Amino acid sequence: MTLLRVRNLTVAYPTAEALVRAVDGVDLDVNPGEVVGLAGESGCGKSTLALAVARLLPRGAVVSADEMSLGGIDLRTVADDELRSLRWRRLSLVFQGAMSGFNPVMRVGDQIAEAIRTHEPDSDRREVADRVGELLSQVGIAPARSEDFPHQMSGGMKQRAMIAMALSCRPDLLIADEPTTALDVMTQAQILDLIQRLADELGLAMLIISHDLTVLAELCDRVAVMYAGRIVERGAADEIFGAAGPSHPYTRRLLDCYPKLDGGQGSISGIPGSPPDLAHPPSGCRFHDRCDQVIPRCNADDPALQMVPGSAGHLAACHLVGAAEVARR
Amino acid sequence: MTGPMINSSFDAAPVTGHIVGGWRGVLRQLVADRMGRAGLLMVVAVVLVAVAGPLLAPYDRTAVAASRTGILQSPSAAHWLGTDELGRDILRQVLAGTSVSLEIGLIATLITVLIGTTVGVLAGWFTGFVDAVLMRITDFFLVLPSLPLMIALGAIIGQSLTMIVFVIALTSWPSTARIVRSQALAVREREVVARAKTVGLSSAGILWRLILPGVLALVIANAVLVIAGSILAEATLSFLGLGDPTRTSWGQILHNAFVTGAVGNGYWWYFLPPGIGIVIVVLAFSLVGQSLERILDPRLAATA
Amino acid sequence: MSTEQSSAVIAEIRDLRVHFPVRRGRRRLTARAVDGIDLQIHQGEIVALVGESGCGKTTVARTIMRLQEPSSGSVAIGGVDITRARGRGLRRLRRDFQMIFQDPFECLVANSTAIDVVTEGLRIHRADLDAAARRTAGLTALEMCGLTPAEAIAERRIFQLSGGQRQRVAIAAALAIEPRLLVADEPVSMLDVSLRAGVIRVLLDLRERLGIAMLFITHDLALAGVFADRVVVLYLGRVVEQGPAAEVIGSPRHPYTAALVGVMPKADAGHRGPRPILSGEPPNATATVSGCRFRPRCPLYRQLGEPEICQAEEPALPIIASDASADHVVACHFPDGDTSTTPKENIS
Repeated sequence: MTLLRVRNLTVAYPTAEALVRAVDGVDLDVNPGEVVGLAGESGCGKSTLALAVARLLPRGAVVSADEMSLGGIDLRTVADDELRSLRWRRLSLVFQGAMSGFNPVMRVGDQIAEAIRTHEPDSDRREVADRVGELLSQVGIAPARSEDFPHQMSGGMKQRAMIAMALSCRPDLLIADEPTTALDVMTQAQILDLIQRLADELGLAMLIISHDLTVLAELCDRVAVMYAGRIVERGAADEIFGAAGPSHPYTRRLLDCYPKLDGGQGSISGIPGSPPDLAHPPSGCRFHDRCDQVIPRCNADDPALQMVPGSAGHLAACHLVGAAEVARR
Repeated sequence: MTGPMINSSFDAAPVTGHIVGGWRGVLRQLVADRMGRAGLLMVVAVVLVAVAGPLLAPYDRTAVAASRTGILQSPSAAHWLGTDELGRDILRQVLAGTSVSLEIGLIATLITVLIGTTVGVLAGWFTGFVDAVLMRITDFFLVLPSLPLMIALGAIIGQSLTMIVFVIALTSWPSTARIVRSQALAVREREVVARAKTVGLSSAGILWRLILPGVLALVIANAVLVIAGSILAEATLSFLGLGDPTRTSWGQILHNAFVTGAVGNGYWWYFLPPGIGIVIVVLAFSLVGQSLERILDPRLAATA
Repeated sequence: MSTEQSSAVIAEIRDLRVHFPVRRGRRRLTARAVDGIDLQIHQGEIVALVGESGCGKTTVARTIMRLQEPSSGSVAIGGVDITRARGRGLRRLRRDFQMIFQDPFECLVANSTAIDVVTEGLRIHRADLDAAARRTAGLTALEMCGLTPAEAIAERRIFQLSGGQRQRVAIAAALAIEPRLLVADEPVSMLDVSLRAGVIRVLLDLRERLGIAMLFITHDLALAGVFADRVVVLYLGRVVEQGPAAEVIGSPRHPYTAALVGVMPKADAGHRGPRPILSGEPPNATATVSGCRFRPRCPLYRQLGEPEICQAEEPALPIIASDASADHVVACHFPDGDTSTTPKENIS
C-alpha cells in the first residue's frame, strides 16, 4: 500500500513570456517506512515538487496531477481544514534553512509544545511537556535544553530541534528539503546519522531532497534524479550508487563531479553547458545538448522512462537504455 | 557550507546599484501598483495645473473688486469659485497656489535630501567618532521645534517663503539622514565593498561608486515623501500666519479665509478649495512615495 | 618531494593572531579566532586551508587581505610586510595579493559589464595603460578563464551571467593585474556541483601558465585532497596538521584530521556503516582549554586513557610521525597513535 502516490504532476508558472513548467509530468511513490531521495541541481524542480505535495506553493502556481494522494486522501482536492490536520500529523516538513524558522523570542521547547498543542488540542500540559523532552532526547538533545532560546543553540542543534518538531505529532511521512546544507561536515554526519536512526527506530517514511548525491547515497533506499523538471532516473540506491552505477548519462556525469581522492587533479570533472530554459524546453531529450553520448534520435525524440535490463525497478529516461550497453568512461 | 546556486542571504538585498529592470522597470512597477498608479496620475494632474492653470483663469489674481458687492461672492458663472474679501477671484488664487506649493515643496526637499544624504552617508561610512558627532548634531536638529523657530526667525529675518523653505529643510533633514545612515551601514557590510577594498579602490571611490548608488534608491523614495511633508508643512505654517502674505500659497489662502471668518460664516468656496488642493497634492506624493519605497526597499525587493 | 621548498616563498605568515573582544552577558571574553599560525606559500603552489566553521580559516583569509586587522604577527607577500602598510601604500601593494570571494552573487556589482569588472583593477594599478590597452588585457584575461568569445561576454552585464560565469569573471579580474598570491575563499561552494570543475580548472590552468601561488580555503576535504598540493588543517585557530595533500588525506596523523577524513561524504552505496563521528560541536573561540585544545573531543585521548601530557602541554608543530615524510607535520603528542578504529560516539 503506497503511502504517497503522485502521478503525472505538473507545476507551471505563467509568466509574461511563456508557461514555465518547473515540474513536468512527474510520477513518484513513497512506501511506508521507506526513505526516498530526490536528487538534482538548482532549478530542476525538486523543491517545487515537495512544496506541491505539501500544498505550499504560492498562489500563481498552477498544479495539476492525475493523482496525488497521501494514505488514500486526495491531496489535490482536500479542504483547508482537513489539510491543516493532515499537516504535521500525517505529513510534516523540514525546510531548507529551517533552523532560521524558529521564533527568536520563544523558547525552543515552547515552540515544539505549541506545535503539538495546535495539532493535538486535547493533550494536557504534563503530557506535552513529557513528549517534548522525549522528542529532544530522541534527536540527541539534552531535554534540559528545551529552555534555550534559538540563538543559544548551534546550527546543528537547531536543525535537530526542527526535526524534533517535525516528528512531534508522529507523522507517517517526513519531507526534508536539503536537511544538511549550511552545516559543517561533522555536524552533517551527525544529522545524517540521526535521520538514519529515526528511520530505523520509528519506521518513518521519508522523502529527502538534496542536491548532494553523497547525502542521498548515505540515507536512501530508493532515489529519483530530476533534471529540467522531469525525473530522468529512478531506482534502488544500491543499484544507482553501487558497482553497476547509474544508467542515465546525466546521473553518471553528476556522480563523476564528486572528487575522488585517488583520481588526481585531472579527475575533476563537470558538465559543460547549463540546464535548458524551462520557458522554452528543447525538442527531444532535455539533456541532449550536454550529453556526451548523444545520438541523432535524442534531438527529436523525448525518451520516456524505460526499464534498465536486468534490474528490478531501475528506470532511466534514455534512448540508449535497453539498446546496446551504454558506454562507460 | 555547501549550497546550490541560491541567493546567500534571506534578506535578499539586491547587489548595489542594480534595480531589477533599471529605472524603467521601476516606473513599470509603479504603474502596475494600484496605489502608485493613482498617485502618479494625481501628481501629473497637479503638475499640469501648476504649469497651465494660471493661463486658464482669466482674472489677474490681484485684481480687487470695484465695489462692495464684488466681495465674498459665492461661485457664479463669472467667478467659478467665487471671490474673497477683497473681491479677488478665488479660482485664480487656488491655481496660482498650486505652483507655489509645488515650488516650495521641491526646493525644501532638495535641500533636505542634499544635507541628509551627505550627513547620513558620511556617518554610515566612517562610523566611530565621526558618526557619533554627526549623529549628535542630527539629534539636535531633530528635536528643534519648527514653530518657535519660524516665529523667532521670522522676527529676525522677516517673513518670506524663503524662510519657510529654510526652516522646513532645517527640521526635515535629520530624519532623512538617519534613514540614509542605516542604509549606508548596511551597504558597507556587503561583499561588494569588501571586494572593492581588496581590488584597491580608495575610500572616496567606494563612497562614490558603491555606497551612494546603494542608498540612492531609498533616498529617492524618501524624497518623494519629504515633498509631501514639506508641502504640508508650508501650508501649516502659512495658515498660522507665519508665511508671506504677498505670495499666494494655499496655506496663505486658508489663512486669509480663516481670518475673514469664512469658516464661521459658511463661505465654503473660500476655504474648501485650497484645503482640498492640499489634501490632493500631499496624498498624491505620499502614494507615489510609499509605492516607491515598497518597490525599492532592499529588504522587500527581489534580486536580479 | 621538496621541489616546493626550492621555489621562492611568495607568502610568509608568521605567528598570526586575531583576537576579538566579545561580550557574553556581563562577562568580557576574548574570541581567539586565529591563535598563532605560521604558513608559507611558494610560487606555483596551491595550499588548501581546511577546517570546520569557527576554525579561523576565513579569518585568516580576510586578515591576509587586510579586511581584518591582526592582533599580532605578520604577513609578508613578495617579501614585503603588508600588515604594516596603510592608506595609499597599502592600496598599491594590493596588486600583489587578490581574493576570490565565496558568493558570486554578492560580490560583483550586478549592473556592471564584465569588461568593466575585469579592467577595474587595471585602472587602479596600471595607470600606464591607456583605455585600449586595458581592454585588450581584459579580453585576454576573460579568455584565459574560459569565457569565450571574450568580445561577446565582455559586454554582458553581471546579472545576466550564471554563478559559474561570475566566478570566472572575478578570477579574470584578479589575474588581470597579475598578483603573486590568489586567496580563494570557498570559490565553488555556492555553485552547483556540475559547475565546479569549470572554475577549478581555470585555477589549475592559471597555476600552470602563470605560476600564481594560491591559498584555497575550503571545508570540502575531498576537493582539497584532489586539487591542492599541500593541505593545512586548522582547529580553533591553530594548525593541527599540514603536509602534502595526498598524504594528509590518505594517512592523517592527527585525530581531528582522521575524524574529518572519516566522515567525508562519498557517493557510494557501500559506504554506509559506523564511522568516527566526533561528539559535540566545534567549540567557540572563547573557550579556554588547558593543554591541547582538541582534548574535549579527541577520541584518541579517551582511548589512551586520558594521558597527562594532553592536559598539561599544548602540542606544538612540528612533530613528525615516525612513518610520515618530513613535510608532513602534526600538532599532537601521539602522532603514531592508532586512529583508525575510533568508536562511534554518542551525541552528548
